[in-house]
Parts: sequence; C-alpha cells; structure tokens
Amino acid sequence: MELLVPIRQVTRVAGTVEIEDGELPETAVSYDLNEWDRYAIAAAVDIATDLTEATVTLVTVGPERAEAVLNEGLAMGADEALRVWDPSLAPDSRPRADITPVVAILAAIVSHRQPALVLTGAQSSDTARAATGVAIAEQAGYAWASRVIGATLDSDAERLKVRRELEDRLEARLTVELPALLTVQTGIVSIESPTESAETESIAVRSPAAWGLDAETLTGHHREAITGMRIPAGLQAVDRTTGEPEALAEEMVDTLRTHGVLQE
Amino acid sequence: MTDALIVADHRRGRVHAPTYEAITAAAELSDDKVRVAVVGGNGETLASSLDRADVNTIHLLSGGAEFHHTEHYRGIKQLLTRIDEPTHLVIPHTANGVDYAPAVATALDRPIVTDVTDIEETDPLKLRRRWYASKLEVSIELNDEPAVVTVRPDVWSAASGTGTPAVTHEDITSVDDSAVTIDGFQELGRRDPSAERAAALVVVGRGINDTVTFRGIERIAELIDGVIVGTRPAIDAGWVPRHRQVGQAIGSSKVCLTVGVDGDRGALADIRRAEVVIAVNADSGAPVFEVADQAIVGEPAAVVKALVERLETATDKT
Repeated sequence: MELLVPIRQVTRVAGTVEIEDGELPETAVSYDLNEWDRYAIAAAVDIATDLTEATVTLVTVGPERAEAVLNEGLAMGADEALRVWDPSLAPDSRPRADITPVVAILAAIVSHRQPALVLTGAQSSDTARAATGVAIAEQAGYAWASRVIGATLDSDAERLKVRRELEDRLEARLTVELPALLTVQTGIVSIESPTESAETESIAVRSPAAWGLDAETLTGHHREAITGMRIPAGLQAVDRTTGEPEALAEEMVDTLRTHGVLQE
Repeated sequence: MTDALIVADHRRGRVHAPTYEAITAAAELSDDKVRVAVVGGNGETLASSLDRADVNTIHLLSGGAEFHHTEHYRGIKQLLTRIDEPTHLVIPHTANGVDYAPAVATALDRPIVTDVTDIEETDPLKLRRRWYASKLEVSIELNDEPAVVTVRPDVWSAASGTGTPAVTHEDITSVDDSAVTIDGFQELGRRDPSAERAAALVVVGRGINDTVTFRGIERIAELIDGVIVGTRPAIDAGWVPRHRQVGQAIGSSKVCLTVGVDGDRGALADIRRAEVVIAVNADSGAPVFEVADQAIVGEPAAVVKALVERLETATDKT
C-alpha cells in the first residue's frame, strides 16, 4: 500500500523585520520543513514499518529550493519524493493568499494514485491556515480526520483507530475507514534525529500538466489577495529590554518583587 | 451587503464560548442580524442559550449528541442552498471548526480565510490575520464572495443581550454511511488544581532544549513558588506532561514567566490572563512579546542561569 505525505517548505522570519513597500525583504527569510509535516513523515514511516509492503511517498508543490525538505524526509525513511512546480504558481515574491491551486494539484495526485493513506501536517508553521489537508480530502473524495494525535492501523489494514486533539485536555476517539487523509498534530510520534544520511534517491519533478491540470488556469484567478503586510501594532509597540544576562535577571527580580511573588 | 451564518460549536450539551465571539464577528460582517446553525446536540436547550441580541434566526439541524464532521458538512451545505441571500459562513477557529470548514468551502467552491483576527472592510470583504508564525499581520481582500471565514477565539467579545430569534428545524441526511465513526471522548489526565491556582506560572517553550537549563527552570519555579507548564513544543520534546499544556485552559495567575516561548500558537490567550507577564526570548521579534509587560531579549540558557543566581541571593537560599 502507498502512504502519501504532502509536505511544505515554510518560510521562517528571524528577529525584528522591517517591511518595505508592504513586502518582506528576501534577506529576512530562511526556509524549513514545516514542523507539523515532519511529524506527518515520521508517523507515515512508523506505520509503514509495521506493514510488509508499504511505500512512503513525499510530495511537495514548490520551486527547486523546496527539494531540501524532500531530502530531509527521505533521510527520515521515506521511499520516494515528488516535486510539482510551474513558474506561474509564484509569479512574484508576494505569498499567494488562496490555497486553491495547491489543493487542486494535491487532490489530483491523490485521485490519480489512490494511496491507502494520506498524512499531512495539521497546519503550516508560517501561515497557520489549518485548511489545506481537509480541503484536499474533500476534493479527492477521501474520508478525513484532522488534528490527529494518535493513529493505529488495524491488523487487516482496512481502518484506523484515531485520536483527535480537542480543546480543554479532551480527545475524540474515532474509527476511520481507508482510504483516508489525516492531518497530523505535532507530538503524534516521537521524532529522533535521522542517524543515517539519505541514500541519493532521486526526486521526480513534474508539472501540474502530468495530472491533466493547466497551471495558467489554476493560478489565473486569485480568490483572495494580500493587500497589506505589517508588524502587528501590539508587537511594534513593545518596549524590549536587552543587555547582559545578569542585568536582565536583576530587572526580572525587581518585577517579581514588585508583584509580591518573591518569598523573602 | 452580505448576510452571515454562524455555526455553533457545542460539546457535552453546552455551547463552546468561541461561538459567542463568532456571533460578534459575524454581526460586524453583516448589516442585518445574523443566523446561527446548530448541528445535532440537544437543539432546543442549545437554542435557548443562543438568543443573543444580534441573532435573528436559529436553525436547528438534526444530528447526534456530539460533533460529527460529516453531519456538519452535509447539514451546512444543505442549509446554505436553502438560504436565498448571499451569506458568509462564519465558524469558530476551533479543533472542530477546522475539521469541516475547509471541506464546506471546497464543496461550495467558495474562498476560505481561516484564523481571522480582524475585519477591516466589509464591501468588498477585507480581513486581517497573522502570517509568518504570527510575526506579521496581513490584510486579505476577497475577490470572490460569499466566503467561509473561521475566526480566532479570544479576539472578539462574547455576544450579549437577548433577542427573540425565529427557530427553524431542518432534517439532514443520516451519516450512517460515513467512513468516520465517533467512538467516544477521553479526558487527558485530571484537572490540575495546582496549575489553575498557582500564583506564578513558569511557561517553558521551544527555546528550551537542554537539561541544565530545564533544571534551572525547576529551581526558579521552586524559588518563586511557581508551577511549570509548557507550550506544545516543550510537551512534544518531553519536558512537560501533556495535562500541563498552556493553551489548554490553564488558570490565570498573578505572574507568568515565559522562557523560550515564541507565542505563535494558541498559548497567548492563556498567558495574557496573568496580571503580569515576563517573557524571555532570544528572538526580538517573537510574537509572545505582544502580551509581555516585561520583554526580555536574551538567550534563555544564559538568562535562566543568571536568574537562578539572582533569585538565590534575593531569597537568601543559596
């Protein structure tokens, strides 16, 4: 059986940034494997290990730099990797607001390959939309469960026992028939650093046309557009204290003393 | 202008608080009063606690006692096809909200904007949300409407007042054919009275990754009589047990000291409730500083070490 893991290279912004003309300067960003997707890969590899014939396939929609996250996933034990791209998906440096093209591409791949299980992160660390996974399931006609914190395949590999994380220390227990898509919460499995470097598995690169999709049509209409970007007012206004650790500790002790939590 | 339909979030017979905030947000989106849909649950009882001033119609849809996303998905799709006016769908950005909102948007071919924190304009609809791990705020203009919008909890005030909404009953197709079955619910550990009553909370985050620093944090907690709780990354890394996860309704405290917490997840609402928040983070742009009374920019390991020494001197417990 095939386990398909859609993953994303996310944008990390370090430090206090300056916004220039409503855009983030390219120098302020670096790129990472999405934290939630890392857990999706680890969970897929775990499930596949217990099966006699299982393949974990990674897929990402992204430019060439996104191959870094595929290589990370291969080093974690995934078997195959696929990168889908068309330049029309990112015509300029601004992030795209709507998920429509990415959902259409990934849903087409799911429909075409019919994996028994799709595992993907519950959200991305940069955009935190928590929407793409469930949208893919709907478009591909798959059963789904979101924010999954535990998933066990039954012995005949036909259904999963699933735990979903709710609020207020509550979990829901579900049974989900395969084929299905799960969006994965961090902590679903424990992750150890890869001990071996990835063998040089090759990454297949395809255009959306491979699944009969026309990239221009997919990307031509923006249902949503980002029209402004700024540092949140509340974060802009913060009075930050910097200095040597001893001086910082001194100021913190003063605050603790003022608020009466110091036992003297 | 477009109408708005909110879908109530309910659990164990009660309306979940973010629903009332979603009513307030939806009233901002719509110039008319708003509709509320309740799928499943003990409909009449839930309806009686949803008669807020801004609500003009409550639609009770049939369904099981507890949340099932197939019921929500089918019921809301069915209801929206019966409502003639263009209607935005407003859903709380909760664990259950995000379990069906994207599917409804996809099925109805609507745009979806999730985790919205502000409404900038209503015609055309322009919404604000966070981006880049909450470090930046973006404005998103909708080119297609109506939309599906999920709203962040703890941002809008709860809808107040009472009204006399019309109540309708709608039968939705059974979900016996769904590939998903709900087996039950499980509470994760008991409530933790020590964390709910603590005068001081020490919140450990992603920035803590060595045992020496964690021992230092334990010593700090001891010296200020505080309880250690953690954000999700600290729990995933095994520093703090899951029932002590901040953002999962840990009580409000007098002082909250966060160490290495970025504040990019749901933890800020809990942290903000403390009387005074001291935040330590190496990243000067960390979103946690937005709720901090004292924003300490420094490496957690070095600050923790220095703070232990200063506290031991100050409390004469060397």
